[in-house]
Amino acid sequence: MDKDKPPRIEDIEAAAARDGIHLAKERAPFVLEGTRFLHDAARRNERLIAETEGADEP
Amino acid sequence: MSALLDLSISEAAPALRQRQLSSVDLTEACLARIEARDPIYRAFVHVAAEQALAAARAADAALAHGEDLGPLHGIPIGVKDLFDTADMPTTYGSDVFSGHRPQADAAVVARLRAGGAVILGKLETYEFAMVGPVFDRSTPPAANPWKPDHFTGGSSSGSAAAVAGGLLRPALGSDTGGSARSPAAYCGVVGFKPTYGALPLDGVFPLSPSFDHVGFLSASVTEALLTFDAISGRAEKLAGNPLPDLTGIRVGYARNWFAVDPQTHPAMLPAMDAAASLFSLLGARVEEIPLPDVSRFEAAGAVIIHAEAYAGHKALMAQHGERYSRKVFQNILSGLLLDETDLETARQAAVRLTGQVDAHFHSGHDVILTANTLTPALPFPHFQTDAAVWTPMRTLAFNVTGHPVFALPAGFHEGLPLGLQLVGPRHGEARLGAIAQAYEAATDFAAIKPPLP
Repeated sequence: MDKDKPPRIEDIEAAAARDGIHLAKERAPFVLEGTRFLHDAARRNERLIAETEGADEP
Repeated sequence: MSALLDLSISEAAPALRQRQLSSVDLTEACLARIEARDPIYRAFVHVAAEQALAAARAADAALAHGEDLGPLHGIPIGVKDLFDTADMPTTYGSDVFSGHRPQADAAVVARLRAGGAVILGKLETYEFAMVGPVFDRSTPPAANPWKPDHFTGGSSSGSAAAVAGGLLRPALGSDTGGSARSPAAYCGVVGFKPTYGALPLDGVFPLSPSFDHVGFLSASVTEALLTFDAISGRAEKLAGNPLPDLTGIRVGYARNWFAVDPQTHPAMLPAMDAAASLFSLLGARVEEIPLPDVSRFEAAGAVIIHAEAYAGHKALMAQHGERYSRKVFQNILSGLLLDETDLETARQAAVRLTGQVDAHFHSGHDVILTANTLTPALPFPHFQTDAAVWTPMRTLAFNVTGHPVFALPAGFHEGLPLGLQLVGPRHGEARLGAIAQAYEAATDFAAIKPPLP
């Protein structure tokens, strides 16, 4: 999966299938919304680390 | 008999020891009130009347023989249904575990029993402590005693409802992102999350091991401290160290965390500023402090919680996914695309943010004051959706940092409680508790009770 792009529904369906979890069609859009929120959060964390590089002891 | 429940633990304890009151009396008073009120509050998912009365008789007999097991000896308490109890059903709030009976007590439950506490039963929790309220599982959500058509917050929903509704004085909860503190705010009771790692989590169903804490809901600060003392095993006790006043105390007021947020209810700002003024009147020096943007804490916290929750639930969801409530299933599954790199980066972010909060304690602030939930409790129809509804609050940041926090009542708006948080340095619970006691003593919020059902 390309981390520079928001997750797609195919990505979550493939990941759920990989882990043996049945994901009903009507639930997938809500899971997608959550994965996109977390994708954005993960990128924010990367930016925080980049901004504070070398500042482990503020 | 129910007036016995107006006695604080500090008042009941000497009466128990002087044989002016029995644990059986207290327990029967709790059971009578549960029978009368809990059909409305739905705080308990299991009432263990027979076991509780047997424990109360044993507590009375021990005291009669001069055996004193500690501050909760003979005191009735409720336990969130996220904690294992060997003699009671334990479902973790999920139909997946319907009928489950653990082999052993959770470590803190065992310590409560060893300390002579009387366990009344199990209290409602959001499913796996994740998200709620939900309406598609066999147990309905607990109701807020202030307005029973409103939610309690969670996930320690039953614990907060039971204390607010006067069914008992202290209750065990847990806190992974605010699960003890936010229901404390919505229900107008005291919530306490000690320093991360202060209490053992064996036998508590994990949500996010990096953030999971044992938490407390209680009718007063002192009762939270006494409950902690009863199970901590520490020689140093938190209760019994009151400050005469707050002269010399420095309060860092993190007003920037809520004052400019459009989600903040208009009643919150005057309530929080009044609390800050009260600290000042009590002799403290109150200074506004600029904590880092709260969204940074929430980004780190969301990734860690969801990565760890998905890792913990993956196998169970593969086997029993259809028995999860819909919102909990969807929410936990949202972590499935996070990888080790995302988790490690979030942990690094958490370390840096923790350092920025610590800097305020290192520079001389004794406590940080900020908001808890940004609104009063919301009515149940607000949550009747297919997607999880996140209510705004400022709690997750202190799971990210691991600092101890007291959730305290801060007033009311249209008959519903408002709440604040008072945060201390790690392992600074004793001083934090004393400052919280001083604030509590200067307000009359604890004396105001919900209307009788």
